[in-house]
Amino acid sequence: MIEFFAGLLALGFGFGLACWICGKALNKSNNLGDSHANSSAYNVDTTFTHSCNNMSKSEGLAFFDLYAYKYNISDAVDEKEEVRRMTDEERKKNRKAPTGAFVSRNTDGYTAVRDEEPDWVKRADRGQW
Amino acid sequence: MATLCKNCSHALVFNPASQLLECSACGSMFRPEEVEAESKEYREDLKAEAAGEIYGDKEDKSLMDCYVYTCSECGGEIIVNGTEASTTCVYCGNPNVVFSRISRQKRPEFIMPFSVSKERAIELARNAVKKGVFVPREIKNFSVDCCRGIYLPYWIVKAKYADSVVIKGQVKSGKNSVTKYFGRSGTLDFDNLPIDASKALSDESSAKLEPYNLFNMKPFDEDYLAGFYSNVSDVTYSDVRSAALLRAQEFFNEEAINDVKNASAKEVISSCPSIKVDPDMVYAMLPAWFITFNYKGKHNTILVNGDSGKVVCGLPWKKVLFYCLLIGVGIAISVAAYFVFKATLPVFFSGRRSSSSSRSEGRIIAFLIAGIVALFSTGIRKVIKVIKSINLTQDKAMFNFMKKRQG
Repeated sequence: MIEFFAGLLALGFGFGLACWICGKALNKSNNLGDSHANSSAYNVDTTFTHSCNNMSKSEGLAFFDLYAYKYNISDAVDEKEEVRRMTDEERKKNRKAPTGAFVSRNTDGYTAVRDEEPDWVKRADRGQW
Repeated sequence: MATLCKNCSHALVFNPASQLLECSACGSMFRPEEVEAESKEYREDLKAEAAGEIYGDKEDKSLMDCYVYTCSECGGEIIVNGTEASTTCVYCGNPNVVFSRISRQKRPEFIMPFSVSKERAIELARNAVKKGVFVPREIKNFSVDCCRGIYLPYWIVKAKYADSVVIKGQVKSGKNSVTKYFGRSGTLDFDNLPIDASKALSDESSAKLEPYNLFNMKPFDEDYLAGFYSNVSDVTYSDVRSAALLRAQEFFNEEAINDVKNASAKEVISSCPSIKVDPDMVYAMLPAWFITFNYKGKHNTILVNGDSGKVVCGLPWKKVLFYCLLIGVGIAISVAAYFVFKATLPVFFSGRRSSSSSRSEGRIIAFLIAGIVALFSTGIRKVIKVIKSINLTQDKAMFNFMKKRQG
């Protein structure tokens, strides 16, 4: 009985491990460049405003109901319209203060500058959902 | 229209190696920003016209849905699709830029010039392909069917994302582990996320080409397009918002999972993503090489990032070698494991028959079975990932995106 059980487990373990090794080797060999840029490449800044640990399932659902919120879709543009560059006038409307633009539009190339108080964020209608 | 040499009036082509516009006839070289702006102005009134307007009834379905542009060098008719901004004349081989498509508001603000030359891109692809153990020999020595440098349109987006996620995870409680839930709510800001602005190219392919170093971008100049193909944006605000939301969600979930400590097998079970995108986006063109080869009657397209040289593709595999290796390794490990289990299992099972020892035996067996299932599922997931990648490489839409261009 023990021998049969040992054989069964050995087969499962042996082919399971072989499947893992061969799958990994195949992925490395034939799937080239299968990676996306990580968050650090795009100046991603994450801030957790609320966090709760070791909750039960019902507490988890309550957390979700309490803190889930969403932005209203901007009415500044028609969502079905093709994306285009803004005219200077539209840009002025969108961003009251012209300073602190996210990209400096100069002749030296591309320079990212983080806004301190971007106007479009101020106007983002954020509320409890 | 092509930018012409000041010395001999031959069409200039941008050389990624020297980052200069070169004349193949007299050997003159110019910096793209040196070429006088006045010489480009008159070209804007030359437009690509719909084939239906030139050859007859607009409603005639027998005519292909394409546009006709006249080559500045030889006067030949160049066929372009609705989004192409630069191409090569099929008759004289001169580069042509459809100026009307990059004028005024449709004009990109920035361009990242190719820094990887055509020869270097092919070399990088060959070197990457050669390393694969499961790559068939025919693919290792593939002959290039077509290699095209294409500037892909991107919108560089600034957005604010908000989400509230519930993460399920296993936490140790004494000797057992229990399921617990973790909540994370917050915001994520990003300043410069490039979103592919071409409907013809799948978002998955373009995302794999990243990262692009956006600081290598330069103010847009049509002269960088000389000798390359390019497309203009054809996506809507809604498309960009959806793509940005998906990318931001990936980043947020990753951060939230990393923020939960002392738990294993963590996964997000519910979320409420929401995004606000700044409508003032930056329009840029980013470079990519598309290299195609034929294998067993199927077209395969290898992508190479025109700036970093990153190679992206999923290659067909030697199935016989893979399965032989799987069976061989499986049998070898099974035999070794059999002797180990045969020697160790009696030690566990022949001990005292108390309730606590039978509980621990049960736990060991459960642990072993769970481990076996995890090994199988991880291995199978890897194989599925490769198959998905191969499907993307052999995708007809991607092949057509590259191939259906003149020149």
